[in-house]
Amino acid sequence: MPDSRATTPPVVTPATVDDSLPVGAPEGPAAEHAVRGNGLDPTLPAVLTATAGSKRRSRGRGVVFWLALVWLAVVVLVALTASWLPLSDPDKQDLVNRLAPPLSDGHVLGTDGLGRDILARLAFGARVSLIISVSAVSIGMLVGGTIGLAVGFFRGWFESVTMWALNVVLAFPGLVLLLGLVAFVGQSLTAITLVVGFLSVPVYARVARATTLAAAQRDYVLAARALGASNRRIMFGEILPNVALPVAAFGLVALGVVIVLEGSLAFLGLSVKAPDPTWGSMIAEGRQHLSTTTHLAFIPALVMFLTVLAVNFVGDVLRSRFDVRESRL
Amino acid sequence: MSVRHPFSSRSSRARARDRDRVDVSDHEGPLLDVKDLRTWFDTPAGTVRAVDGVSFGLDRGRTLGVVGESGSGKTVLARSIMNLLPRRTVIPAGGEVVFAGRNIRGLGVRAMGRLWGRELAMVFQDPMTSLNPVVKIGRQLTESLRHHLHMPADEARETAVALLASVGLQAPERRLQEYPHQLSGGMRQRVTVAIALACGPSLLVADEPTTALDVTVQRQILDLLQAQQRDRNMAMILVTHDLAVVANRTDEIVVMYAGQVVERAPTATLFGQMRHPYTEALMGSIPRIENPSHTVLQVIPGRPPSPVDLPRGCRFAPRCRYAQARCRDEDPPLVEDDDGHAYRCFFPVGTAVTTGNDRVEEVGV
Amino acid sequence: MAGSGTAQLRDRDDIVLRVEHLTVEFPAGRRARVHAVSDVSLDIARGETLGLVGESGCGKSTVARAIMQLPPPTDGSVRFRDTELTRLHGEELRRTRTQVQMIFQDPISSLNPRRKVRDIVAEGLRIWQRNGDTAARVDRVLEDVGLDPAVVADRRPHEFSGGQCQRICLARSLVLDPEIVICDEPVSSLDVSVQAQILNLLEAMKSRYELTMLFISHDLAVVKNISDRVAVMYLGKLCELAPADDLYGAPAHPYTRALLSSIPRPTPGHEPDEPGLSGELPSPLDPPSGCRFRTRCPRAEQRCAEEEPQTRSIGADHFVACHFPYPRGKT
Repeated sequence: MPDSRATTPPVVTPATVDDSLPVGAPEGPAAEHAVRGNGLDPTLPAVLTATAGSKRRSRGRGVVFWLALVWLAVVVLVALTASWLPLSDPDKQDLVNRLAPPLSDGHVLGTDGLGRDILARLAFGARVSLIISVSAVSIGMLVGGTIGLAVGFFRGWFESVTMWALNVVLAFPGLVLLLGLVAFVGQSLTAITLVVGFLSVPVYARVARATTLAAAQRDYVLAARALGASNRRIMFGEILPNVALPVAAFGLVALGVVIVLEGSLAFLGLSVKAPDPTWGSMIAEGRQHLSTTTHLAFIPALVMFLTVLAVNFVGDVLRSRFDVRESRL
Repeated sequence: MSVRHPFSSRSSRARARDRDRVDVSDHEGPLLDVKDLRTWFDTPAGTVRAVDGVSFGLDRGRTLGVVGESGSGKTVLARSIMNLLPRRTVIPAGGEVVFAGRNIRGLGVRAMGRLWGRELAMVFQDPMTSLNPVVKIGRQLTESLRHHLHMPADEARETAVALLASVGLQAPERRLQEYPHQLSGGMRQRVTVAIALACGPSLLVADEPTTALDVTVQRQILDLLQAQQRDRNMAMILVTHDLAVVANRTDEIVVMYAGQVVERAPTATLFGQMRHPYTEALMGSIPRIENPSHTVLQVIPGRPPSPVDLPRGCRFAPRCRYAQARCRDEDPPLVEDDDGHAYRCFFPVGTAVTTGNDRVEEVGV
Repeated sequence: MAGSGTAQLRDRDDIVLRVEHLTVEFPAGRRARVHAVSDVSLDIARGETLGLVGESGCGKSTVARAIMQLPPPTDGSVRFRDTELTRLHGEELRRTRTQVQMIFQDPISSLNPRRKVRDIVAEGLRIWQRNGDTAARVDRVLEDVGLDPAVVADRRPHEFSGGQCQRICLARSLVLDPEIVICDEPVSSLDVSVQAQILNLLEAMKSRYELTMLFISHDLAVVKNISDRVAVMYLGKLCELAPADDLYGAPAHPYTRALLSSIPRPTPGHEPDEPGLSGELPSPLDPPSGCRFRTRCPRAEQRCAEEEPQTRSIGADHFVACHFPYPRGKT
């Protein structure tokens, strides 16, 4: 094999190299790898692992997704505009027409034990569910996420002390705290939201910390330091964008959980005070009449179920959409 | 010649076991005959033609090198031969894998379960992920022995110790009780080789077995594989991206590009005269110890084609320095010359060809 | 092999980086310490490329990070031009460090997947708020590394191949016009054909930006191709240091020889000169006394266990740390 090649090769200047975008997977012998973050063998070619799921799931945005989205939009809209919609007064009692079944005259979904219109109560109750879930989750994400980010970045004794404190909060019996608070402050929406938010902080902190620990190890953080970035710049410029998404994904799941949580609290009499309607309190009230009039409990339960289901579906799709981008084939 | 199983005792139980084996010893002809193998995947981006018409034969006691870069399809080829592909997205696109006279393509898991480990074995690239991190080495070794050969526990243990010693591990009894993370990368790879060889397979497929290892360990592992192959008269397929690795350790080489075989030849013939422009370019882009420092490397411009959007005509044409109009229009077939040297090119390197102007030129001087 | 000593340090005006008695140790559990780098000294002159080779666990990557003070070494001195880097802190260190840049092994994970290429490459400029047109500089450096800014700038790293990502990493490092670029296994995770592109690119950038380079790799052929001088490390110590052609042509240290003989050659019928290396790498928690290579060395004797070899000159700019090196001229 002549080595003349070594002395007169065609000189290919960098600028002539093709820089079109690859549709294929990243290359390299030891890095003939597939996706990040889903635990698959990094030495397999992407084609063997990225296609491991079923075809339909990887498309994601089917009919179910749109139905779920529409339902959520309806719920949110109704909650926002309830005051202006042509609904009956949710507090107006009509004892003559109590326990009317759905599709009765003037009451599309019937009335409850005191003759109050169920549809109207559902609409106003939606407010409570949405406010509690969105606010509590937001508090948790913001406060917990920030704590987790700081703890995972700086580590040291700061981390030990904080994680210990968070574990205490996590172990705290939330109901006891709520009961105490309710006795002290009263059953206000604000109080409940704050307590639920506060109690969820440790969980978000843990998620954020774990993601931060992983992100801080990556070479791009080292590269940022080499460029002279300060700690603050690295934390918010490099790490935060990578932490925000998993925390938000977690928050999406938590939304549904908190909606159901409100329902449970209502059973214990810890939710917003009567006569303000909440889905949970409607189910609780409906319990008394369960043997005779099932629709009282069933309808709000169904609405809650559908809403939580929709949140989960939409959350799933959004999550996979943001993750899939890193693993294209 | 009957297959020697070096470590079983010749008890009557062992003899009964041997009777149950798939008997490859009497088979005439090549041990493995791959005919027009195609493995396609159904993905959201389209149909990926990972392996698109690969054929070769392999005899017992011989080593085949499969060389290619990422995306060439070599790993998918290895797994197709072993029938280790995800079932849901694979399109059975054709071809046969004839092992000891029997087509094993598309066989179910139960039928393959009798062959895997027993007659067909595989060594993977990354020993950290191919060994179960929470199971002791001893158990991972004896698993195969007990399942396929129905060995009782004590015999399996003795065999495992002998196996570990034969792959060059010190203090083999102690290793049985250790976990993978307690061993170095080289040692782990030796363990995976031992596991693969435990039941005396007739075909060993090694998929980049040394890519993740240091160069001195790489030599040790490759020497080990070669020695074991000689002793057991196994057939071996060595899949790698490194031309240098196959140069001295294989009998025949297949070069893959974009799912196809672009060149196939006995090793000495291939290195003596590379016919396909890709092989030649690949060779030119490798830094060589023999060359002085600061030698400018030959570069193959561009990138391999996307597997869902293959170009019409020759798949290497967009990057080939000798490409002509014909290359872009027609798909060259794999032609074989008298030396057993096959290549897929209309204008092979080192041959005289007629160009469009009816001039005769030597390609690639 | 594997010894200490500073005989290899040169007394020249144009030394850009000078590392003396560099030591990096990590605590590992109770009372144990990982001796990642022990008393390593080397220097690089302006415009030179020093290659640093060794296998896993030899400490070469740790040397690179210690030079950058990320984290600072346990002991020893790192002089960049006339500044002692180990004595700098805070903003002064950050500012000086911009002159010593690094590119890493895995190009894809060296880039923040959530940021656009334009922002990634401009990061250095934005931190130090250089006057002038940031966008124009970014475009220029992207073109220099062979990427078309119009196509590339507004996309995210996961849309690119490994080779392209490495180009982006290089662009990011070059945008601040550094003096030294440290390359830590920059082509190990790339395909062979892409590897050649990147190596040629590094050479081209080196001359265009007048860089000094420290090139770290386990691939001896790659290192030889790109380096002027090459240093070999084993278990935290320096074994041998010589001009590239000399090291590969007449290796004196037994480890270097073993390493070279293990490289597979793309030539059928090639027989290795030496038998392969036997045994396993000793633990860096408890390295062998005296010469750290003695447990696997075919020439080891009693002296090797008692006395650690110091680097000494055995020829023109050829240094080795061994009591019984192979004489020059032996093939």
